Amino acid sequence: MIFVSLIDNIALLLAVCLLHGLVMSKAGHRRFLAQLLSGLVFSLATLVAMSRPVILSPGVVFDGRSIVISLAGMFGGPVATALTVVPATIHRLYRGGGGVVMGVCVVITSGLLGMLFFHLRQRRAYLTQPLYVYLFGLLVHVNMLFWTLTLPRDVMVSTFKTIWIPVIVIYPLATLLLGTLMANLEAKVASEKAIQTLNEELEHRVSQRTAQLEAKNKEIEEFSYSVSHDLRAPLRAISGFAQIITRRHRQNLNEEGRHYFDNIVQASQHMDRLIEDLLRLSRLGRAGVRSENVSLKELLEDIRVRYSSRIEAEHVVFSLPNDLPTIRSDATLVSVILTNLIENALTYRRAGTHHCVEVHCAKADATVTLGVTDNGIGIPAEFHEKIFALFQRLHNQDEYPGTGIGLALVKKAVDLLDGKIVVQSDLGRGSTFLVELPVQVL
Amino acid sequence: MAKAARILLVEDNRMDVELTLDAFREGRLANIVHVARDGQEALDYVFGVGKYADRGKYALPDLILLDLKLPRIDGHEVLQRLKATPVIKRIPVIVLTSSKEEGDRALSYDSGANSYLVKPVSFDGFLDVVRQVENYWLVLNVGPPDSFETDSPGQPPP
Repeated sequence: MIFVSLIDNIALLLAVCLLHGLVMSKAGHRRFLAQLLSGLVFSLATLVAMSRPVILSPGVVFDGRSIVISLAGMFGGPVATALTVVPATIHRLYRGGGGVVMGVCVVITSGLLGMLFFHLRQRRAYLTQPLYVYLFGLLVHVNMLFWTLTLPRDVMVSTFKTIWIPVIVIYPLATLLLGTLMANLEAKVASEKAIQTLNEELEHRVSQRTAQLEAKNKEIEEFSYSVSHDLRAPLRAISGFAQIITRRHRQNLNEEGRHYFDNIVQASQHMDRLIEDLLRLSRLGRAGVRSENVSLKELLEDIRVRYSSRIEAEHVVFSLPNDLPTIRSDATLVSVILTNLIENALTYRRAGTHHCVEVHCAKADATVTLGVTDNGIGIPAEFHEKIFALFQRLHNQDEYPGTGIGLALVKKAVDLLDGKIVVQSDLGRGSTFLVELPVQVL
Repeated sequence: MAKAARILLVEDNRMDVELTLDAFREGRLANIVHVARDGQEALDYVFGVGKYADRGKYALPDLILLDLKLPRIDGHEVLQRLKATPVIKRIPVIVLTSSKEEGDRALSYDSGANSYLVKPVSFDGFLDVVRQVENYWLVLNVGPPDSFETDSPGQPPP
């Protein structure tokens, strides 16, 4: 009979224990607040336990308070213990009767034993293992039985006889049950906190790294900007004064002098193109990649118009496909790709052939493949990879003019658009550049 | 044109100065070009500070050609100070620079530049630019009144 009543009392505590878990998981990272809130929960649990006691005789009552108070001490810390012990003491004093001394002493010593274990377990984490929690429960309740000595003589012996078995059997088990539950909750909160800390650390490191990269990028941009502009000023002087001499003082120069001055003018113009292309390369994608409607038909017609005088003068057969789609992409980047590929196709022609440049386009679900084919000089297989590198040229200026930046620009633009570029070419037969872009075809 | 136009050329690079002056000489107009070699000198000239206090000798320019990369005070700041000053802000300022950067262009126009020109590398290109500047800004364009004391007739309605 007393077993059932005590178990009923303890079951109530389980519910409160879950509330404690909620508090820990919500406020576990703020130590003082957590102690305060769990103190309130423990205090509530104690009062609930004390309100449904097992009454042995008037003034001699038993309930689960020793369990809650000792666990409040062991898991809640000083603030929670104080918040639990004080109301329980007041409650017991208010109820009065022959068991008041024992009741108050049990409340206070249970709290003290809990605090003792709270301090012990800071250095000995194993004390929250089930065996030690059980031993702790046993200790608390042997202590409880000890205080039966303070009961009035007439009820002391009979009370001890009635309660010692349930107290030694049920209470430590209940302590074990509730204590293990709390230890698990505590471990869960701790590991969540550890994960959170790790995440924050990771986030911090990522943002730090990003900031470093951004700073580096900015540095490179500033460098290329300033190099390009500072290189231009002396270049303008070289080319400007050389041109003044070739124009105004041409008659004073002999043929060799004229030739050399023409070389200076030519070389400085080439350097100007180099700087311009380098600037373009460093600028490309700096403003981010846009997503806009790009009409390939309009874009390619524009390029055709831009090169029309060259196409006509060199009698090139230039053909565009009829069904060019509109795609979602970045117009500037697509234009860089097509302009440079077409310019190359126009440039590297074979002597004595009828030069043809053909643009083609294949649509798939989520990609479009643009191709530029010519019947020009072709590219040896060993250079199919290398040609996309900066300043990689296969010919000298006199054979085919160029800066060696065009295909590097194309590659960078393709990369910015997450696309792929391949070249198919046979030496002496011509080349085909294929660009596959992952885009929405409208 | 009754009198020669007065141009203030703000340029730190000696060779660019020579090229510009040479290009002006090849042009048909008789211009008086004063050269300021940095931003501070340009501001001193326009505001009549120090050795430029004598307005009779150093009259306000009809046109300012302004480089952006300048020692001491850079072109952007010169432009901002000129355009923040009543009356002075009426003088047309043409930015003449090597930079095509969007940032420089945006900031220049935001500060009130009247035109933005990129210096060509070739001398032919340079000549062309100078010729067109002369033709547009000193012939076609009607500048602010000679008497800089003339008030504008109040603020236009917003």
